Parts: sequence; C-alpha cells; structure tokens
Amino acid sequence: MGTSDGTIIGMAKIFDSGSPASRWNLVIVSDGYRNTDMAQFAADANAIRDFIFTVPPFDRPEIIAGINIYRLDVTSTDSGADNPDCDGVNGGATTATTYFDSTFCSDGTTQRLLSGDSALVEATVAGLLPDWNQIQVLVNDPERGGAGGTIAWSSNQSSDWREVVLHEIGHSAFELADEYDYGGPDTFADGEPDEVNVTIQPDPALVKWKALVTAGSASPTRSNPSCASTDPGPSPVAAGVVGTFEGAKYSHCGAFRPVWTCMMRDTADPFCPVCTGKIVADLAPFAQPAPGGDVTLATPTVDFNDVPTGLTVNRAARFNVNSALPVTFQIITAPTPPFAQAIGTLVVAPPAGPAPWPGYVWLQFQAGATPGPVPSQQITIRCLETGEDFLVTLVANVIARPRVATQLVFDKSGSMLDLTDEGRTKEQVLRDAASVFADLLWDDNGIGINAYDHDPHPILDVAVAGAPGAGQGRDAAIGAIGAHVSNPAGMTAIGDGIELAAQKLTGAPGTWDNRAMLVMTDGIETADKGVADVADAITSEVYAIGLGTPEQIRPATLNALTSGTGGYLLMTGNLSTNDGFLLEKYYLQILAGVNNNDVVLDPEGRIAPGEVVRIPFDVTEQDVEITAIALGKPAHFFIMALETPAGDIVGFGDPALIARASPRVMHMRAGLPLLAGGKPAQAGRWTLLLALNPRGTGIKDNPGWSGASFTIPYSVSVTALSNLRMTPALHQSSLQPGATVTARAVLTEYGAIFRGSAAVRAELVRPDGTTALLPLPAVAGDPGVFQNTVVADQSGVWKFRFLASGMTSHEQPFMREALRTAAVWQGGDNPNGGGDPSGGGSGPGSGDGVNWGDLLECLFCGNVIDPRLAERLKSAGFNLDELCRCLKAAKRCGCKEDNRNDIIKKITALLR
Amino acid sequence: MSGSWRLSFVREGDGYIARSADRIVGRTPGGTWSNPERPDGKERTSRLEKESNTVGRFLELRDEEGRTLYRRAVTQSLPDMLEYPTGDPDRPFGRAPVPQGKVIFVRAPADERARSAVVVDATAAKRGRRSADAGTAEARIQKRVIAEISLRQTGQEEAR
Repeated sequence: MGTSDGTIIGMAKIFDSGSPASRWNLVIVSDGYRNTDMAQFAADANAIRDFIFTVPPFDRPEIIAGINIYRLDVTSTDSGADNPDCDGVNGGATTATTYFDSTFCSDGTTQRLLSGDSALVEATVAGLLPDWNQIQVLVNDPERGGAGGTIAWSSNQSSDWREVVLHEIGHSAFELADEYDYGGPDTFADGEPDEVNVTIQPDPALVKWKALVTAGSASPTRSNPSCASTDPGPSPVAAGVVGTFEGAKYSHCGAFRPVWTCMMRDTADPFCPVCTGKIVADLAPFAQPAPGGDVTLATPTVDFNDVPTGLTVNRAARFNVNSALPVTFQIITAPTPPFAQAIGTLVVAPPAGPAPWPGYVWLQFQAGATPGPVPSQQITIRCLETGEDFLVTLVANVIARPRVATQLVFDKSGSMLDLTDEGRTKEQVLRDAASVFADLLWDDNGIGINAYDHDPHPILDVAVAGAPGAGQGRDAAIGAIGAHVSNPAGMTAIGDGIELAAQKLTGAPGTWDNRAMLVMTDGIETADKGVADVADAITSEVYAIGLGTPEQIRPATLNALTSGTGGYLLMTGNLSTNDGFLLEKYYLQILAGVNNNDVVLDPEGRIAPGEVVRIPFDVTEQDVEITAIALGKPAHFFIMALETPAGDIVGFGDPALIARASPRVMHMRAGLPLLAGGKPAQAGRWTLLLALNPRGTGIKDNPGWSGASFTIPYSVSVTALSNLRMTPALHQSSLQPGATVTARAVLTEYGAIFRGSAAVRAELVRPDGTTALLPLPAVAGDPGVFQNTVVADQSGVWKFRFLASGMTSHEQPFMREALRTAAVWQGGDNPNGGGDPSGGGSGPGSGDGVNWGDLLECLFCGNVIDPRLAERLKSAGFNLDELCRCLKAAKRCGCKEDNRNDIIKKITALLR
Repeated sequence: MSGSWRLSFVREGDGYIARSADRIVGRTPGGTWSNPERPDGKERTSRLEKESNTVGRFLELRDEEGRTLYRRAVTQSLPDMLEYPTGDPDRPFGRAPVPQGKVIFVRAPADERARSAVVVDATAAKRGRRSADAGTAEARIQKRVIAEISLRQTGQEEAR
C-alpha cells in the first residue's frame, strides 16, 4: 500500500477567489477512489464546496472572497479503506490498496477513527500548493468514519458527512471548542479555556462573550439540573439568544456555552454568534487584497483637460480593487497648487459592488485666470493593505471659458401697458422675467439692453455681468430693467430693435465665443423697420418671445428669422393666472441654452410655511456643472438646499458652491463632482429641498398670511452643463390650423450618437388649455432621435414640454426637459402675414368688410382732415406726419388690417 | 512582514516535539501581538496579559531576548485527542488519543524579529466547581514549554 497504489492526476481549483498566497486555501483530497470513481470524487468535492457556502458566515461576500477551494485528484487501486474490524461488527477484516493508506481503527482500537498517512498527504499537497491551510481527505467508503485535524479525514457516504467536515474545520481552522457535554468528567474541573466559545464563567455580565449577550442577567442563563446527564431542556430563551448555558467541552456541568445549541454542539445547527465572530475575524486577513494584482491603478494619468478659467474641478485616480474589504489609500507625495488633494491624505475606499470594484482617490485642480498649459506633476499613492506604491501623473490645461454676450431687446410699444389675464401689465411681466435672466447670468456672460417702439432705443451697451453688487453689467442691467417703461404712443418696429441689437453685439467690447439676442414683442409690426428688412444683417443667434397670441403677433417672419440663426421662437398665448412663471421660464431656458446648458427638470407648485418640498432629479457622470433654481413670488423667503445621492445635505451657504438670492430667484450652482461632507457627489439621484422661512422679513405682509392655507407659488428648475444633451425642435407644415407639427428630440452624448436607452414624450397644451401626452418613439435606424407628429387643429399657441428620461451609455439614469411652442392662426400662410383671422386672405372687403388700414390711411393721410384741424392737432402735440408714416409702414408689411386694435388704440392715445 | 512559517510538530508522549519550520508566502490568521507595535505599524493594546489566565495550548513567537511577540491559541490545532463520528445519534462524536508519531501543522506569522516559536501548555493546578475568580485563577495557571523551534530567516529550522 502507498504511492504505488494509485496515481496523482492533478489539482483543480474548484472555487477561485484569488491568489493562493493571499487566500485561505482548502484542499479536498481523494483516497480510495478508483480511476472510474473520479467523477464521484468531483461530485463529492463540489458537494462540500456548495454546502460550505450555504452555512453562515461562509455565505457572506467578505468571507467567500477570502477562500479558495482546490480538488486534488488521486486515484487508488481499490475503492474504500482498510477495515480491520476492530469492533468486530463487520464480520472480519478487509483491505483496500489506496494511495494514502486510509484505514479504520487507525489507532488500533477505535473502529470509526478513519485516517491514513497524513505526512504523505501533506507532502503531496504542499508540492502542488505550498500555501494550503486546511486539507480534507475524502475516503470513498460507505462506512461512517473520520478524524479531525488540520489534515482531516472523512468517509463520503454517511448522511451528514458534509456537516461533520465543517464541524471539524471549526476546530482545526478556527480553534473552536466542542460544545457538547459528553465524553468527559461530569463536572468540568479545569481553568478558563482558551477557546472563545466555552467558559467556566456563569455570569453573562462577566463572560468573555458579554458583548454578544442578549439573554438577560440571570446567572447562568441556564443551569443544568443534573450533572449526571445532558440538560434535557427546554431552553429558557429563544433559539439563537446568547447567554451562558451549562454543559460544554465534554462535561455536563461547570462549563458553559454561548447558546442553547450551535454547530459545535450539534452539526444540524448553524454556528452561534460567538463562533461566527471568530470565523469572521480569522478569515478577515485572507479577504484583504494582496500585493501584486489585487489593487491595480486604472488611471496612471489623471487628466484635467480643458478646464475653463476660474473653475475648480475634481478628478479621481481610480483603482481596481479585488477585495471584499475596504482598502485605505495614502497620498505619500502630495500635489502642490494648482493641484490639491480633494478630501485628505488618507482615503478609505469601501467595497463598491462585486470585485473588482473601483476605489477612488480624489484630486482637485483650480484653473487660474490665464488659459494655457499647466506643468504636470507626479504624486505617489500607497495602498496600505498591500503596501504598494502607485505613481500618478497629474496633467491639466486651462481654456478660456466659452463666453456669451447677450443682448435683451424689449418692446416698449404702448400695448405693453395692457393688463394680462394673469393680472400684471405686459410691461411688468417683462421686467420680472428679464430681471430673473439678469440674476442668473454667469459672471463672465455679457449683457446689453436695447428697446424699440417705432424707433430703436439704446439702453445699455454689452458689458461683463460680474458678481452681484460688483457694479458691473449685471447690476446695471437690473437697474435698467427696473427702470424700463413703455411708450404709450409707441408703435412696433421689431426690425429697429433687432438691427440695433445686432450692432451692439457686433461692437461689443471684449472677446465673445457666442453672441445671442433675445427679442421680446407683444404685437405685430406696425412701423419700419420690419424683421424682414434687417434679416440679412443678423450674425448672432436670435431668440424671440412672443407675448400674446399668434393672431396678435403674426410671428411668421420672426419664426423664420430665429430658426435660421439657431435660435427659436417661444409664444406665450394669452397669459392666464396659471402662467405666473411662464415668461421667466422662457427667459431661463434661453439663458441655459445659450450657455450650453440643458434643463434637467422644471416643475412648479405652491409651498406653505413649515412644508419641505423634495424635488428629486438625476445627475450623471456626463454632467459638468449643475444649477438649481427656485423662482418665487417672492423668492427671498425660500430656504433651499441640495441632498446628494449619498444623503449629505449641502446648504445654501456651503462654500463648495455658488449660491445667490434675490427677491425673484434663488439659485445654487456647483461644478461636479461636488464635495459634500468630504465625499465626492455626482452621479445618482439628487434632491432639491425647498422650504418657506416663516420668519422671513416681510413674509407676514403677504396677502393671506394669516390664512390657514397661505402658500407661495414656486417654480423650480435644474439645469446642467453636460455632455448629455437633448435638442428639441418643432417643425410645422404650415402656419395655419390643420398644420402638421413634427416634434423631434435628438439626444447626444459627448457630441456623438446617444448609446443609452431613453423614453421621450411631449406634454402638449393646446390653445384651448386641454392637454395631451404625445409619445415620441425612437426613429428606427437613427440612434438618439425621437419623433412624432400632431395635427394643430386649433388656432393659437401649442405648447410642447419635451421630457426625456432613461439610462446613459454608462447605465446611469438621466432626465431632460425643454419647452417649445408652435403657432398657427387663420391666414398664417399668407405671404403678407395673414389677413382675416377668421377666414384667411387679406385686402379690402375681407373679414368684417372694413379695411381698417386703408380707412385710417385715407382718413389721416388723404385730404379728409382740414388744414385747420391739422394745425389744431399739431398745436396739441399730434404728429400727423409720423402717423401717416406708421400707417404706410404697416400697410407695407401687410399687417395693417389685422392689427387694427393696436393701431386704433395708439391713435386714440395720440388724440387724447 | 509578509508571509508565514509553516511549523510542524510530531506527537510524542502526551505532548508534541518540534519537527520543521518552512517559509511560505501565505497569510496567517490573526493572533495577539505584544504592545506597543505590531509589525504592520498599527498600535494596539496588548491582550497578552489578559490571556494569561486561560488554560490551553498556545503558540508563541519570541524575540532573541525571549520576550513574547505574538501568541495564538492552538489547543484545537495541536490536540491531545482526535474527534471522530460515531454514528450514535445520542453521542455522535467520540474522541481518541492522537496517535504517537502523528504530524501536525500550524502557521505562524513571519515576523522578522522572531527568533523562536514555542508551544506552551497552560494548565490549572486545581479549581473547585463554578469558581471563576479571574484574579486567583491566574495565580493557579502553570505554564510549560513543550516544544520549541528556532526560526532562521533563511528558512532553515533548528528543532529540539
């Protein structure tokens, strides 16, 4: 018998958690398996493996990650083991020639004591795997038998052989004592045992596992009523309760165990909490990462490329960690300015998903005021668990932040004094909305203002916005907006306003990467110059807001102009009480757009004192900067904060971000990732928290303050400078009712095709106020493009709120919103801008049969007015020549018939 | 510190004698280190003294002046009895003395300061039932080195 009685086939790793040098390695060895039995041995080895990982704590990820299991295939000549039949029950001795000489009665007297040549087993295993921790020899024999130890033996066919194997591992690998109470003296008479799970101390308050005691103070928890036998029970406490239970370590009395029963007392039970703790503690070193592969540097270079001037950004050195336990990184050679460590010198990286998981060491770069390259630096980061040092190179360059010059163009015609259904005059609506625009400007934006009635009116040349209160363009703009008043006698020459704005933008001092004008109008063109007259001179993006209905504005030419420059036209329709924030939102969206920001979400509601409104929104890794905005009427009673995906609260005054407040709007703006509570926060679900400060100065002066249902309206927006963008657009087949409106949204990532998944829809508000949900299915063969059509069968403004949500190509949830409007009106396709709203066409005799333009022109420009009356009018300040010029201009642009109310109103004002 | 010693002992009489010490790269389960420094640089309060009132079998690493650097209980790893399954549902386990000449393996951390590994038996002289006064129990503990292996950092061993 011996090595001539079989063959070593080889070793197979049947559970792999990593290098054997760093793991706890269990080797399962065959004996008494013939060549034809090896499939059975493989099944038996797998059975042990699978069983172990079902028994707590071996089912925990951090424990599993520390264990390797190997199978050593060794064939024997015979099946089974020698059986000397030393107890005489088998009817005679038998022999089996096996490689490791397994035998029952291995001590010569004990039948079930099954073992063999342990030294040969160790030498064989060590030759293949020097770092073995525990060897389990499986003997292919139907008779129950085995022996514990670091090299343990077991037959493979009893009903509970796997449980017995695990019990023996509890002894030899984790130094756990037997908790059963037979086989020794009735009363334990030794000192305090060194094993963690047995004691002579009966008092739960003093016992060495007192930290785990849950049974109460009775000492002991359970005393054995008879020291001559095993305590029959029942347990005075529930299963699993930890206390002191008499009967352990082979004695009925005098020794105590932690629970009523445990794997170390009865193999049918799980390990108790005390044994579990010892197993976990002993295996912890094996789950930790090992040098030379378990922690690797994924980013030898941390690239702070193209950081805009003045911006502080955080980037991470990323490690791939193959461990179930946290690892600690230490920055050994620290970066120097403009680089810095973002959190601290010591960084603990917790497990983040299945191994290998990413561990981050965050670094920071602050871009200076001067564009250009920055000298690179090399830092050293050490993983304390593995002792390895990693060299990381920091590179950066600074670019000029794309700077945008904006020119606001205000309508100051007399009709701006009209009241809206929402309750404010149009002029006031404009002032409120434009002020929000000025409040939200980026500091390096430029802002200028001009106005128009029937003439252009310069107000403010383009200047850098600057910080609030710094006396720069922003402050001047807010002042000018507040002082803006309309001309009761003013008519509407949109072209004049656009032409002047174009001149101001072209001549704006400084360097601007983008120029955009935002034109606001409330009525049709009634004076020179018209939009068409100046269209060829436009070189900037033009955005326009039409404050009114299509019938009032006839925006065909304006729509065409904005579309041609990359801008767009938004129409309000008739402002109702539900549209309190509409114009602000339009301005806000346009501001975001010209600064390459996307709107993430844009809800509104009302808030009461004591209430906290939570508005969740998704941020992705592709987002570079976010701005959270709260509009209010008023806003300065708001309390505003952000909650990061990790649950950290970033208050309004947190130095990690820019936070500003005005009576109209509060906003918080932060580069990403934002360091909150020392932790970087970026991708995930954020929450904007909004509350109403009941002690806000003047809040009690609000109407209805004492009322139980006092609330203040709010509108919240979150915008993101992002590499994930949604570009929505509306295309109309015509400008008349019945037009087909195509709603189309294009998603891009990093300026390229969108590779994620998304659902896009449009919430549609028809001119009559009814709503509909328009799904925009993905266009086949055109990734990232979503499109649908709707027939605009009602005259008026059709508001489309585009909503996109889904997962980025990095499997991160995202959301985007955008507002667009379409407008149709009777006669919209008429080359002259439409005639009769009710029936299309134009010219004398159309509509109600009266051509008001011709009539007025005839009245004031013909010979109807007697020279004496003309003189009286002039002496009263009536400029008859100017009126004629306006009437002729209106006629030329084709608007005169349809804007009669506007003209009559102006004339009435003149005559008054 | 990295790696471990694999120590082997042979059953002889009622104890063990040293057999071999071999360096391996694998790790060792945690034990108790002397104060104030552990080899990995982390400070911790010594529990060696606390453990000195328990009985059992311990593996100790000692420096060249004989001071204990590290201790771990090995009562179960270096047993006096071997456990086996009986098949009796009332007494499913039996125990038999470890056969003479049986080789047992244990690991110890490869601390560069260690010059020897010793196996210490700590026994109680005598104790009445349910007497658990720790202060007096410590005084009753008797310790005896039953095996010692000289550790050479080259990987050679000297057993006695």
